[in-house]
Amino acid sequence: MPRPLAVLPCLLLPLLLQAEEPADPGLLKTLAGRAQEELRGSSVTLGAGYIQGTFKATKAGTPGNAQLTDNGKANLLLDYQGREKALARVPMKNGAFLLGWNLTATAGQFTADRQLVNSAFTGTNLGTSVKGQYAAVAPSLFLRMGPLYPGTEIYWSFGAGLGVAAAKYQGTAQFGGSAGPVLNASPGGGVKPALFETAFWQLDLGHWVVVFNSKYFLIRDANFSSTSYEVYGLSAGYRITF
Amino acid sequence: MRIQTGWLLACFLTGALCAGPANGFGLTLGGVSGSQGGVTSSGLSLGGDAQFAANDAWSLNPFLMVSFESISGSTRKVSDNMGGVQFRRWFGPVYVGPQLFFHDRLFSGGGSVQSSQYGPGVGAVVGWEGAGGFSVGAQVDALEGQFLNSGDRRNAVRAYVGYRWR
Repeated sequence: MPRPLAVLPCLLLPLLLQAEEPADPGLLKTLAGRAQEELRGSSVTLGAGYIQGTFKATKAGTPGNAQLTDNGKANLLLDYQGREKALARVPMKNGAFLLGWNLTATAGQFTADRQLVNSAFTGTNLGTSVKGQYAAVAPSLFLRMGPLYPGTEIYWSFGAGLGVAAAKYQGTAQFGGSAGPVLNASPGGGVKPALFETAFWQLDLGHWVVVFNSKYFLIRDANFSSTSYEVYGLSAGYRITF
Repeated sequence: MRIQTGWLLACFLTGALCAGPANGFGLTLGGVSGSQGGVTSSGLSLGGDAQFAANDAWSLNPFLMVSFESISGSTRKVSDNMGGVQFRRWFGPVYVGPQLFFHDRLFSGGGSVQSSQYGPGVGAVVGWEGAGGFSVGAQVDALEGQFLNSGDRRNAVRAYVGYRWR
């Protein structure tokens, strides 16, 4: 499923929106002041949504791979966003284009008990199941534009982050389709380090947010050639800034 | 400069036909035709975007699009879903520009989604948007492939009409 988007648009936008005339120092100070006003403090977003998570593993010498999903489910949204820092601000007809970064953190648990055999999304119950937990943190680059209409607080934002995570899981997974071997998904047990990628596409309506979010964990597990867990979904929530 | 002067003159003469970029939500409805590895498909395209005008010459349009397509000579269906950003350069009411996007294409048959392909893509967009909010447009979606895979890539053309709430 969708991995985090490349940050290329973030890098292109400031070039396209260059002011035509060189700004004087006073104007730069004003713009810097406005950018500070538009930045948000630390926040927690609480809400609910619909997500699908998939656990994948490959093992040298074992045919095929193992893919287990949850077939999609309702889920609580709980995300932490650190205080925002501005990298660039470009005035627009309404408001501004803001390029910034912050720290994002997330934690959750999952149960993937449907094997993907004949479908890319809908798994089959083969009696296997992998349950796990994760916690992750990543510096994220974001851009935010708006407001869309004068006098409103409608903003569109997009961002991507790359960071680290810790994951723990256990259970069994069937490799190579429905006739392959069933292996212990975590024979060594314990907490494993992971590379964490995240991306979001968000519409802000005041304190309310509608967000498409994807999270990808590339887990380092000595028992397998590769192990990953990815989750994506659409959620709505309320942002509490402090 | 000559082009902009021409558009200003055209706008002066045609009045309401000229708009330029204005902020607002928009919806589009039209058709799509795609080709991948010699296999063609066609069907319906739906889209939505938010237009953020940087100035009178440029706008940034984050967009979402979905399609519902039938594959030629097959009972299978394909749905190409995209999220991206268009960089529109405006000449009066007419715009043209590149787009960057991420797509997730779903192939279905027999009542279930059988496979998907996802990854980045590029393209170009051209269109006209009137002061009343109505618009017509077309875009090319190119090089849609599987992430980090050099296999067959899809190219498609979409044409649509739309409306923007300014």
